[in-house]
Amino acid sequence: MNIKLKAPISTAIAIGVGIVVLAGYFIPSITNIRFILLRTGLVLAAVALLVGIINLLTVHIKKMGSEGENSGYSLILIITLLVTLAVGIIDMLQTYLAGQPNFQMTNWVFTYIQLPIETSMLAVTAVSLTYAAANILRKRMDLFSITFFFVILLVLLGSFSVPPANIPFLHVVHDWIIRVPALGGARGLLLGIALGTITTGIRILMGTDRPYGG
Amino acid sequence: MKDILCPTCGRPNSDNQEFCNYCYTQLGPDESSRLDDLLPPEETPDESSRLDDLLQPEETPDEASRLDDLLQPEETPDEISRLDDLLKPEEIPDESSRLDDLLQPEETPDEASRLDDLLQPEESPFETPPTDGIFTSEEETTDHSTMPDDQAQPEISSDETPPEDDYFTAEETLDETSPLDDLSAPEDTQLDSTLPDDQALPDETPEADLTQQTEPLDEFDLDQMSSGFGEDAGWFDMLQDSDSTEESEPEVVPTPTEKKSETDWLERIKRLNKSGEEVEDDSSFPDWLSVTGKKEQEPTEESEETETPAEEVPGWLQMDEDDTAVREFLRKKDLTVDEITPEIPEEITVVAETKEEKEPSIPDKEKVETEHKKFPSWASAEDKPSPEGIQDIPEELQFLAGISPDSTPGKTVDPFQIEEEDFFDDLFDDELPSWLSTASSGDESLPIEHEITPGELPGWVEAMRPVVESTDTTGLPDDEDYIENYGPLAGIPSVLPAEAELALDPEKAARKPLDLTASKSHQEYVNLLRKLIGEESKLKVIKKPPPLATQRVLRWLIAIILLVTITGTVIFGDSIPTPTPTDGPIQTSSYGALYYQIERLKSEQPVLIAFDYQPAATGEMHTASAAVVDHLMEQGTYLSFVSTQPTGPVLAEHFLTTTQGENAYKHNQQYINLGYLPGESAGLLSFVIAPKKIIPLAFDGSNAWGSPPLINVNNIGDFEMILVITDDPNTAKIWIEQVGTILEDTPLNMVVSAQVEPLIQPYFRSSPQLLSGYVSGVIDSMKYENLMGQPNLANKTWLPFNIGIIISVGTIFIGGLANGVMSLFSRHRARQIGARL
Amino acid sequence: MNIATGNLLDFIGLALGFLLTILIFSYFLGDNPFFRLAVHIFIGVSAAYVALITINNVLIPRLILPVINGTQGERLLSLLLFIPSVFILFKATPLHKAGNWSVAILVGIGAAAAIGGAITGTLFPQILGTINSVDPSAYAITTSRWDQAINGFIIVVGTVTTLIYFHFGTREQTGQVNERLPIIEKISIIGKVFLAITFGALYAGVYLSSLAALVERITFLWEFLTNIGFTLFSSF
Repeated sequence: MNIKLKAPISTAIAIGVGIVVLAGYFIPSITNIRFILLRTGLVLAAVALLVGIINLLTVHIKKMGSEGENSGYSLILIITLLVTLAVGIIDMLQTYLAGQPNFQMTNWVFTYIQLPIETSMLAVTAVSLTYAAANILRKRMDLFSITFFFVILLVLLGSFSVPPANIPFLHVVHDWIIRVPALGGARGLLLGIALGTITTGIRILMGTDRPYGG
Repeated sequence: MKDILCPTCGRPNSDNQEFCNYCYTQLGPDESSRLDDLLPPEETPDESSRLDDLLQPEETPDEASRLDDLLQPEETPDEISRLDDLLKPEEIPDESSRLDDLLQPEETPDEASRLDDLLQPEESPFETPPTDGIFTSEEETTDHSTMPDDQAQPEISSDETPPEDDYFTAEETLDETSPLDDLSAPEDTQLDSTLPDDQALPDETPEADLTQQTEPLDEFDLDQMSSGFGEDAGWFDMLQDSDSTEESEPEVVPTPTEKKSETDWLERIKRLNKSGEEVEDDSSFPDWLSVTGKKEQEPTEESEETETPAEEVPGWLQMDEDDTAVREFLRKKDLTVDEITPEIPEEITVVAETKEEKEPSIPDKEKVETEHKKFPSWASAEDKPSPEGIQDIPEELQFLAGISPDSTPGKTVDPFQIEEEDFFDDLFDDELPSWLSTASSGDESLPIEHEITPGELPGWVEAMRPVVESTDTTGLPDDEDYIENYGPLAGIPSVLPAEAELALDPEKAARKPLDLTASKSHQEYVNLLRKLIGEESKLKVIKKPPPLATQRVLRWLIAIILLVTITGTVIFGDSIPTPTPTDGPIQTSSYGALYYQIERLKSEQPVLIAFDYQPAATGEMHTASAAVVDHLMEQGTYLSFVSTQPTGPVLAEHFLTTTQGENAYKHNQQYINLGYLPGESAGLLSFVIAPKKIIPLAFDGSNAWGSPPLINVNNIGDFEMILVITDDPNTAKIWIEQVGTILEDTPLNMVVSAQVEPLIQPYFRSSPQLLSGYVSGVIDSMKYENLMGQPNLANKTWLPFNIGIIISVGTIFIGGLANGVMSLFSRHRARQIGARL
Repeated sequence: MNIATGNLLDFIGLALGFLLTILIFSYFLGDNPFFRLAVHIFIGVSAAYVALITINNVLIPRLILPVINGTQGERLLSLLLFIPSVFILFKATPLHKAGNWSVAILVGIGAAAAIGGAITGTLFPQILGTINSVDPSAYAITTSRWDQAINGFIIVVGTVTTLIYFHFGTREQTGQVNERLPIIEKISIIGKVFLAITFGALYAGVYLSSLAALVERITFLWEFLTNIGFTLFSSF
């Protein structure tokens, strides 16, 4: 089998860096170089976040330019993004110029805008999840759907504890489901994920997979 | 004295010499007897009735017979043997079964069964020497040539022919098929060449040869190859009337592939015929099967550019290309659109009239023509459809006959743009050794010529190759006998010269049009197929169906019930005494383990708390962790906050403000917010090694490690406890995997969302125990508060939370039951309707 | 939460939070412009907040401040870090290929950390944990040994069959079915049942989380309204 290396430098870097970091688990003497690499990765990860945000901004600027129905929303997104950035930069400037930490405005934006929206979005899913659970058997009625459906009910009922509707037996069933069959399934799941992770990681370290654009 | 051509260098030697004068290769005269093995002694007429129903001899007999020529399994034994070599089940059972899977007997039972036969050694016990496959297309045709005309075809159209063979009228084509047709015809017969032909080939292949042949199979990607067959079959299946094929071959043995879905062939088609978005034209299918629906392009003069002198490189020398041949091929199929039909239709349609005119303009073709003169008469039959035949075809059927509606009469459009030869070439070039590789484009073979000399031919290939005298020993007429005088096939008669193949450019020769006239039933099938393919390829804008009124109402109903009950409980719930959940064995419980660990902590001991949850989970996580953090503060521990989420640091501050106001922990004095730690796994790994170097400054920019409790903290193990508050199973897993495995005496604990518990519980019960204890959601938090004896947020939210649970359970149960009953009822009704119909 | 004791900015913030919560809750009626408006505001704010935290908490202290205030070695290291950081920014430009090697560093580190973590943190501990669940010597003395043995057996069966359910095989070829032995197929059905139980438990967990969020939000709304009422009444 011939492997075409389309990006030999990137591939070599990924393999080299990966091997050093992986070897660090077993060879303590290379801790220093491993630490430098990890530290580099830490900073790069942060910069990659910025790249993602720049990309988001670019996409919505393009969408705003188009005359689609969502262009207005893109405009709102861009405005809120830029305003928040401006607020944060002002806070940062104040902090570094005055020498006193002061991120009140940024925290305010987070606490009173981002937090309520995000929490409310999760709250809304309660209704959607109820509706979806009730519809499971309508869409599909087989052994697995029925099992899934009744496990949901039993776990929820086992979590319920308000007298006089408190049924201790349901707590026992709930605990047993979580501790025994769900544990077995979760272990299999975790082992499967671990094996998949190892396989994927090895493929990357061998240069077979090149998600960095090789 | 007769000369013997050296098998290696191809040079003549006298017949009394055992070794070649030039390259010292053994000149085994006994090998020559194998030539006879290659020659099919007779033809089996029943094998040739594969496409009977597709063809109507009454309408276009010449076309039908030409197709018949192309589909003579008996006449392509080398192909069979090549496939046999590749697909011996005892050597590669898995691969052969895959091949079975690829073939759909329900669609093409004859094809599939024949290939199945190939996979069964007892049904095809013979093995032709692999060198036979070098020039497959040539040999196919020359095998025809080895047979007298009266044996090669007549049985098909004779009275002895089974009724289903009626459509084949071979006689009329014998003298009409042009040499050009013959060059390209074998390309078309790639699939058909896989037909077993016990009668045609003697079973004399030595076992040693078999073992030698199987060696390269290890390197050969049979998945690719089998997919190639799948495409082959799929391509051809479309043209087949399943009913007719079943009639023609009733002995078809069902294979496991019968289980496959009926739409598999569509996938194959789609694979061959890539989507229209990717290519402008569809190269792999004729117009009437083209997904893109674009017309074939007019022929271009590309053949001259790719013509390669025969002396340059034999195609079989091509090997060891990129291993991604299949993908390359599939890509190439679409990229070489312009090369698909180019000059061939013109050559075919006007070959008789313009052959002489073309020759001077294309000097290289002189050679081709001279080579063609050695072909048997039937092989040079004119392929041009008779004008009468065309006129007989109804207008709506003309597209099947390759007649373009907008073309001049007699001008044909290629209905089958067959690229299977290319596909096999690409497959074999890469993975198979040279002896299994077929000739491919001359351009690619040029550099290899200098790398591989004839002397490098494997010895076992030499041993297998028949060497005969260059004079005629076959007893065949002169015009049908051509003996290769160069290369590894030197000495083998009835071999189509590579020169001709190369000069014509096999890729283009492969795209010879196959004019076909079909019956009405066939046309119906084709129309249906075309409709199906067209529908498959169309981009359908699936409009989101408007939610049914009942569904919307049901959703509103659920929302109203939940909102009303929970709001009511929040408003009036204070008056209801809050119960405590049933306690299990506290010592072995996860929250109990955490509780007792915190109990052992002393004042000023450093504890690391990771706020690693999303703001969305604030409600649950604050409730779940309030009691635990409160407990830590009561113990007087020094808290260090860190987060692998960007929002974590501010959430930590928010948490302290909203839930721990009474404790009034002061920054830097009783806690420090280390801020955001990017990089997930990498960040955690580096933080584990040297936390002070990784986070030198706190979230507010102050010195992070100046407080007395943190002075002695040099690595993460110096903390007395680590508590991770998270709502994400993946984050929890990363902490356990990257940090939990390194910690020795420091316990790793967690406060998690209820959704995380099933996935982190295995770590609590693993060996070694990587997770020392955890509190899961509101329920565990309630238990924890009861254990502490201090009601906190869990107690406050307990009643509305539980009311929400019971309302949800009731809704889900009733809704689920109703839906289940309705589903059963509707199925029952559907069954009843089905039974009535 | 007592608005009366807070400042105006907090009151505005709470009112804004209340309004945004209502906008999101309008999704109960179906997808609508108010809901979309709130979602786009959220995306803009959260993206900007992440950018601010990244700049303030990572880039400034690790890249900029060491160059200004750091020692010689720290300066050199920070300057060296600048190179891949700048190149990774190219990923947001048409010259994105220039940043491939920087991403390769990230990917290499991530892959190695994932492999190491999966082996040491999940693979071996979970295998040992599964074995121990049927090891009588590892049983607790507080509960019945028979109970533990049966439960342990169920756990082992669940783990093994779930693992079998995962189809570790060759890459699926188009038009080709990777078949497994019938016995394996049957065993994997048991694994599927265990997976259904596990996913059922996970679904219930997600539901409890969202329910907790709903309770929190309703509590917030009610408290806000209560506080407004308290403020209004106390002003008279």
